[in-house]
Amino acid sequence: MNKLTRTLALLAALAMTATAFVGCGEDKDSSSTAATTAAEESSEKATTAAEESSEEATTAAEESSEESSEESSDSDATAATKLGAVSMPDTGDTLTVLCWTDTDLKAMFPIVEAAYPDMAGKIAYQNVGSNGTEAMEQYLTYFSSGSDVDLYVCDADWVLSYENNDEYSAPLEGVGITEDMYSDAYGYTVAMGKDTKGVLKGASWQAAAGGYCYRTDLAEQYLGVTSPKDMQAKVADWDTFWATAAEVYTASGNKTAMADTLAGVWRAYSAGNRTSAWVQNGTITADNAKACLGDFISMAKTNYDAGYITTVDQWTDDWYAIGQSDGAMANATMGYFFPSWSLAAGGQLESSEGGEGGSTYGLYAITQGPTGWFWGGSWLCVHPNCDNGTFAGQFIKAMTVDDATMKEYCESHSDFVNNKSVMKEVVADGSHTNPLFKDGQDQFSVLYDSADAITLDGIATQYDGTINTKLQDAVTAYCKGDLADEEACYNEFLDTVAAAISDITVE
Amino acid sequence: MASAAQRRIKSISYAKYGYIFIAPFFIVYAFFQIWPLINTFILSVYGNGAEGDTFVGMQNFQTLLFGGDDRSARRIHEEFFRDFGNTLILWVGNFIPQILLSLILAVWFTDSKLHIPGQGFFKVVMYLPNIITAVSVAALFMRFFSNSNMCLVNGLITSSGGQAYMFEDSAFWSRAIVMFIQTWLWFGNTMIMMMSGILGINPSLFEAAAIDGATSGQVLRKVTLPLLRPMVVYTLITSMIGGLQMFDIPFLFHTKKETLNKYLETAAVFVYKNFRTSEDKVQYGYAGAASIILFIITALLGILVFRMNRDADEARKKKERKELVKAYKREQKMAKMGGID
Repeated sequence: MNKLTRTLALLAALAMTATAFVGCGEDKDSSSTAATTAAEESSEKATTAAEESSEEATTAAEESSEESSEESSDSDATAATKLGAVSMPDTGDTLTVLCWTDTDLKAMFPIVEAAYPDMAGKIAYQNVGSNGTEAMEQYLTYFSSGSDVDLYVCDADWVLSYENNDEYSAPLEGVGITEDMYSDAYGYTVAMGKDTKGVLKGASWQAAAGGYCYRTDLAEQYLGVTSPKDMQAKVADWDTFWATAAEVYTASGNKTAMADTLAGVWRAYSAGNRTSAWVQNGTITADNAKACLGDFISMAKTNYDAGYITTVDQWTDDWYAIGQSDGAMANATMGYFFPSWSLAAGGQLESSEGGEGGSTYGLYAITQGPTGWFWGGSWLCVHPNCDNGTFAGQFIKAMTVDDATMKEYCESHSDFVNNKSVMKEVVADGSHTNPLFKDGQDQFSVLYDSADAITLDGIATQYDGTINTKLQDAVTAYCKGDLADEEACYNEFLDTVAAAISDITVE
Repeated sequence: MASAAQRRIKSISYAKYGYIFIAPFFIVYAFFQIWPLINTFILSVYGNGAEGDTFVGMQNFQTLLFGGDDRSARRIHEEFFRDFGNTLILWVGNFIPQILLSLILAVWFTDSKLHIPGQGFFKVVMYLPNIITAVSVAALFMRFFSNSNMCLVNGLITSSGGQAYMFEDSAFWSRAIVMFIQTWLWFGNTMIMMMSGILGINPSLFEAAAIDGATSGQVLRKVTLPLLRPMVVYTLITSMIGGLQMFDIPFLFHTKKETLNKYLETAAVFVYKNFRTSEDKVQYGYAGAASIILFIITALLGILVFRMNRDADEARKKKERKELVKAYKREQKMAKMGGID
């Protein structure tokens, strides 16, 4: 009896110790259950998707045989590309993909599972459910928790800092992916996929070219413009853009702005106009900072004060509300600067239209806008602890290399995929329609040229995320009148960057 | 003659089981509290960012307190002082209304002449905000006042034809809202403390005052408040420690993603910001040094308040007693050495 009591007491003490350490484990219980249910769902879908895709494959094969033989041999050659030697282990049972938003992955899983049936039911994702640098912090926490992670999705703003850190990323060669597979990819995505030593560590499935999305009903009412082509003439360059803004503002009774946010204008302006890297040799020089900024500060202030840019911030509830024709902020903006990934189902465009049945659903159209630009994009990176080498390689290959799966993803999810021949085909087909746009306008034909024009050779640095945030903060403060003049705004920007990144020198 | 078994029983020590039972707490405490605490001191003398492994001595403290020549040091210094100022403003602004409100309520609730009905109900209701998590409270108040055109107050303003007001852009409003939240969260807790303090005062003193014809104002000033001083000081110290470390609500109160409200960045937010400045470019050195400075200031203020509370007479008597003991010891020593001459 005495012994029993002691054993019980010991057990109780052990249990207490164990519970005390429970907190050390992962704290992603909720999302992991979500992931498993999603995995279950996707495995359910996989069977139907497999059936569908086999049907499609047969029809596609028939079509291609009818078409020129050159093309079919071309696609055969790509399809024949085999996964290289995989040096990473295959000991894990589930391929875990870490992400900050799951809309894209949800669409990918059925496609990958159909293409590689042995992966069916064995892929899951962990969604940290935040964005920007917050997501990056969540990733670091997740990595250090020791939970299973094979692949993870990186944003353009911070992909380089992960790739430059061998602790967090492994060369893609380890999962059988080599650079020569990306002959059809957009050049900048491959450039951003390499670390400072030139090792390929990230692969992108999308090219994030951006355009200007506008409300067709307002354009007709205020500008008399009825087609995207005419609209493009009205926003062809920045001067025309702001002249049109004045027209819209007056015609709407000082209600409707032309651009959605300062940050949006900066994204378009910087990616189209910036030609040098912010940080060179660990330093931001005064001359270079001025060159990179161009006349953005004064342009922003003038047009913000004039009411041509709304006062709301990106990623807030208001940001979506200004794009609708009802509610407290009805018709506050004529349009948005959106990159390709915002145009997919479930993306920012859909939210700005108020979702299906919303007041402006299907009323938008897209033009190239004043400048060709890009914003973000997503890279798949391999974690050094990856224990599903083959699956990881297959996943990356299916989503970033293989034509058939990428085309399927492009058509089902309306995402601009990182594969020129697929995009060319889709644009040439003219079959793609996006219900978010008026008359199902195909955004790919509009963005096709912009995407090809993106060059990032040597102008992207791992600090760009922080620099973009700090610049937007400083310019917003200046526009709101917190900072006295342009010089103060410029100094505030450089000061905050210097304080946030102690590794670089700011002159 | 005791048998072998008896001797064995005598030698069995049950103390070790006690130690085993309390061990889990101490292991966890050492692991999660003591080590991080020591590590903060270590980090504060190491560099920032890529230089995280370089020993830099007092460099971080110098940068924080006196700034430097380059943009980075100057800005860090400015931000540190700005954030410290914010902390003090926010703390003073929530402590004063909080203590006054709690004091009045505590006096009313304990007044035997008033007999407020439904006391239990009011006590519970006033304490309730304290058990809501800060995140929920911040989210709730963000729905009322924020930079969003769609928050409740802006909705009312715009629907009556006004211009939406950006509450977070105004130093007054953002601070006033946070002060209000802090007061609202904590006055119930402080009130219970004050009530227990008042109930601890000997009732015969109140009776005597009443018999002598003292007005309730006189009772409050001459009886309640002086005897309540230890409790007020205790509240002051705990609130000060909590106030200097104020983090959650000021940190959460901003609409724009990733951009904190500069009128609300407190010293603790400064520490966190540098601890997790951006991406992987951590600045542990500044974060550590700022924590140490915060610790020193808290300790100093704590000692100061504690000294203020000390009864002056008691202190003098203690000092005199000490002097007497000293003198006595001196005499003894002299005597031992053979006395004078």
